[in-house]
Amino acid sequence: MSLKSYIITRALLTIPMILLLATIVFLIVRVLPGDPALLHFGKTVNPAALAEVRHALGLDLPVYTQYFNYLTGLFQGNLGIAFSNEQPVAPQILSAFPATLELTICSMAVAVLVGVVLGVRSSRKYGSKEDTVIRTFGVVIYSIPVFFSGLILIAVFAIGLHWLPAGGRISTVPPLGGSILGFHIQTGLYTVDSLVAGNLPQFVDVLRHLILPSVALGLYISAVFIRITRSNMLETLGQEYVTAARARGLKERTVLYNYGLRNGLLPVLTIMGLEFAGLLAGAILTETTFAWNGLGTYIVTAITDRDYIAIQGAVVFFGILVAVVSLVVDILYAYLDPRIRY
Amino acid sequence: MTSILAMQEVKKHFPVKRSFIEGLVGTKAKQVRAVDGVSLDIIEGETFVLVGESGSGKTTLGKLALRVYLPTSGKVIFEGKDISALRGKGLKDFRKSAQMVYQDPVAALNPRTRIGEAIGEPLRFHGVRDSSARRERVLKMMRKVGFDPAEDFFTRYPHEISGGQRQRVVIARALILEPRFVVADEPVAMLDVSIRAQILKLLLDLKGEMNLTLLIITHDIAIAKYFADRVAIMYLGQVVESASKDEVFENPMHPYTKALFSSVPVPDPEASRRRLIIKGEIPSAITPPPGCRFNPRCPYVFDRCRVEDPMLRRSGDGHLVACHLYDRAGQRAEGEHSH
Amino acid sequence: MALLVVKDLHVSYASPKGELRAVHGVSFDMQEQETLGIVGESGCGKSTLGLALLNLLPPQGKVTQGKILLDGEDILSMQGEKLRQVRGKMVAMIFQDPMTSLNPVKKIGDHFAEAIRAHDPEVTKEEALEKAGTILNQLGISSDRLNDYPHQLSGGMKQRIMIGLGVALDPRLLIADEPTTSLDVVIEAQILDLLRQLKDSLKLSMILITHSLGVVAEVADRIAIMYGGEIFELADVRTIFKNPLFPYTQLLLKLVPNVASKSTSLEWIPGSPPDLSSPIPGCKFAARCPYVFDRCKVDPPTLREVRPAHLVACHLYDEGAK
Repeated sequence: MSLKSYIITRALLTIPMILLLATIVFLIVRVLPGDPALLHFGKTVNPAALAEVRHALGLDLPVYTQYFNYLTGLFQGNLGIAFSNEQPVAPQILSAFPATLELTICSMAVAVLVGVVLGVRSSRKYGSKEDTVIRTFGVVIYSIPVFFSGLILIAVFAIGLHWLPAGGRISTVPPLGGSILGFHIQTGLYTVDSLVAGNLPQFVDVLRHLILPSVALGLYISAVFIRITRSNMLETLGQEYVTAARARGLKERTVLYNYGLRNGLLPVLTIMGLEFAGLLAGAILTETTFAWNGLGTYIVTAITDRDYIAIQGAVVFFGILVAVVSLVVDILYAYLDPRIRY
Repeated sequence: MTSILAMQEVKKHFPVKRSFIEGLVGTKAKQVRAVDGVSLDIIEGETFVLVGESGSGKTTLGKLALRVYLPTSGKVIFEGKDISALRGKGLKDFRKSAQMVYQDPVAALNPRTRIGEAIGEPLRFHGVRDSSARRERVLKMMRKVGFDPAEDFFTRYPHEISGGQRQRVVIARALILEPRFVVADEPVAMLDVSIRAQILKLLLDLKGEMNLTLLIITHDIAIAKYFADRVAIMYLGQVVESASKDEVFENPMHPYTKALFSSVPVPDPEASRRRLIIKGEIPSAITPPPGCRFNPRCPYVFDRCRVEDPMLRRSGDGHLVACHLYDRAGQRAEGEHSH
Repeated sequence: MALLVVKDLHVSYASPKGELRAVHGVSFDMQEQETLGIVGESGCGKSTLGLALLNLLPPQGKVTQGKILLDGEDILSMQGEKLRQVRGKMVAMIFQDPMTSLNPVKKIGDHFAEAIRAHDPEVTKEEALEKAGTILNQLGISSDRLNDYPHQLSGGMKQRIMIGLGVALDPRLLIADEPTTSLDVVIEAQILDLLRQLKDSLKLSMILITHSLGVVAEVADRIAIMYGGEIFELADVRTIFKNPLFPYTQLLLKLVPNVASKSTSLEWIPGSPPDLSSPIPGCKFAARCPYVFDRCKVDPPTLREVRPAHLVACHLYDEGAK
């Protein structure tokens, strides 16, 4: 099978995955006991008003019609109307998403950088004191909850040393982006937008806001990468093809990168995909700690408001995101490892 | 001469994994023809050695003989009964009377089970509940395979004994239920040269002592040479030649058999190095060549070989060969036989 | 001048049981265009010796004593860039398992290009691939295979590729560690045939490490018999097979199966190889030797020339020994 047909196959497989997820979320919300509309009202209920809300939400229709409407809505990008503010859910999620994406990417960068560098180091110095120190660091960092390490970071670097801001994404108004080649670009990723706008001080400000939450979340996840990288590198560097490469007189750098890392980091890629989902979940805690207005904060608000439609929309959105990320990871893996495609 | 195990036109095809799209559009799954029409008779009390290279289907054949796999078509008859049809008690009895000795003693033994318990495990599965009775039988079996004093070894773990001793444990475990038929798949391939003969000799001694029939599956022609009563050579899912050991080694007929024998390195620096080295490697069992499977590599190939699959025919006293070169002789021999 | 001189080589591994003396006082010389077979069972130190010749021991292994001179230069004292240039260019190595000797994520052509260009950066990738294609053709493989990944090739094909990589840089010495052990017998014959051809056509000097007397009989000119980390007998191939002096060699020859012979009984050596993690006072083979006498248990014999060009380490051949 060629890489192309592998990609097509793998992409097609994503569709039933998303459908299944959407169905499960639908069932949990509709079929489980408790009327979503009722929840909206709190303690006093006026039956006429309730019926009206149920009708407006389409909750009076048969379940299969609701399901059909829900799915067709989903494919048109319509995630329903939120209870709390009676606005469509999809645009709200889309506007909250860039904040989370920006945080997730930066955290992932921290996690991979710290995890892979320390993991490789640890494997090359196998059994040494340095190895022990790195492994201990990994265990310790993984056992501290993110909100706690976040609070400590804030206490030290924001409140104590005044080096970095304690929360939020930016000190001024959000950047509006700018135009490149005649296209107006505004991504909602403040780093990108401030750069496009050519506003360097603002870019620096955005980065300063990003550091603490990214480090808190990234270090936590890096523990996983340290362990995986270390064990995979140990295994790979012990392989006969590595010895054979050295026997051919290849440069140590070539041996380490093309033979060691290239093979040893393949499984790390899979973990990256899985941890991405973990990072999104982790974002909920981190965002609350750092007053970060992203999807995490959105979900927390929806939960306190008991806004089922918003929760359902956010969960489905997360699900699609994870499906897409794992698709990308699998394709990358197939590209990097020729043995996958058959 | 009663047959203990007979195979009749046995085939085992495994489907090749299809891709998701191929599954959707309904492309027919390709088949690996691991075993493709094998008939053979194993006589009670003999040592039958099945020789083949990797990819010849010899291991699959061994598993078919023990009902690890059910055949795609054809029959495996053990003591007169079709083993595919066995159910309930009949199947349990079969499992007791037919056993397997595995190739890799490290993989075959649980590192956390003491060897005495490992050997006794089959007894427990087959209803010997009394642990002291079990212990007695295990110790007796351990003495038979050469653990002396057996009591000392009973409580050891697999990593505390040598490779040769581990293989003795594997043999003891296979023989503890007093089977009548034992399949040994590459029983010494993982062992050092200097102890291989020792383990094989043990297996043969036990065979005599316990009235076993042995099917040894191996890539090592020397094992056939030194230990077999009868030998069969497999190539790409089929038996190409089968005869008594002396017949096979003194008068190999199939070109593949000849090539195989002449490929074995001769431990004699003055031996002639003129030999029949065949080119290429075993083709894929998914798309075996049409006609005789050996035809693309055969030095004596002629037109008929490329279209017609030769049958395994009698070509002398108990000597079976599947090759068009011997066709006329084969027919004559068969004709004489019918008189 | 000898191509290779190994002088009193000692190699130890750090192991949980303590220091494991894998190679213990090994010395031998090798001439240009000679093929030396090193024969022994697993654990006798033959593979360790092979890796030491490339100064390529794993981290837990260490040369504790001795010299390895290639063209008069001590390989063991080399480091970094100098050592790298010796590996592959001066001494090349082929390993036992072709299935795991190639980088699974690199094409065959990349393996060649990397190796050629690591020693001559002036060569372009295209030139390197062209050279690789020529080598493959010599080995009976189509140069189209340069675009294949290792998993697309069979075991025999991979071992040909490994041999091709081994000779790609015209090394002074090729070390082949069990090059046919994991191959089927028909393929083994093909590979041995190929090695014999290359030996003649490229005038290769080769060290063939193997457990199989059959394999060395086919290819080697001289044979060293190793046991328990030492060389116990060293002579030309005919002498070893016709007139072995060391008891272990004699026994080993009896237990080699010979499909061509009429004999149908096979022998074995009782006991098992020595545990090298504890010091052994006398001869390492004494515990299994049928001719053992008192002196063997206390006094380790040294390898010396007992007959012209026939070296043995055994007290049986001492002056006045009974």
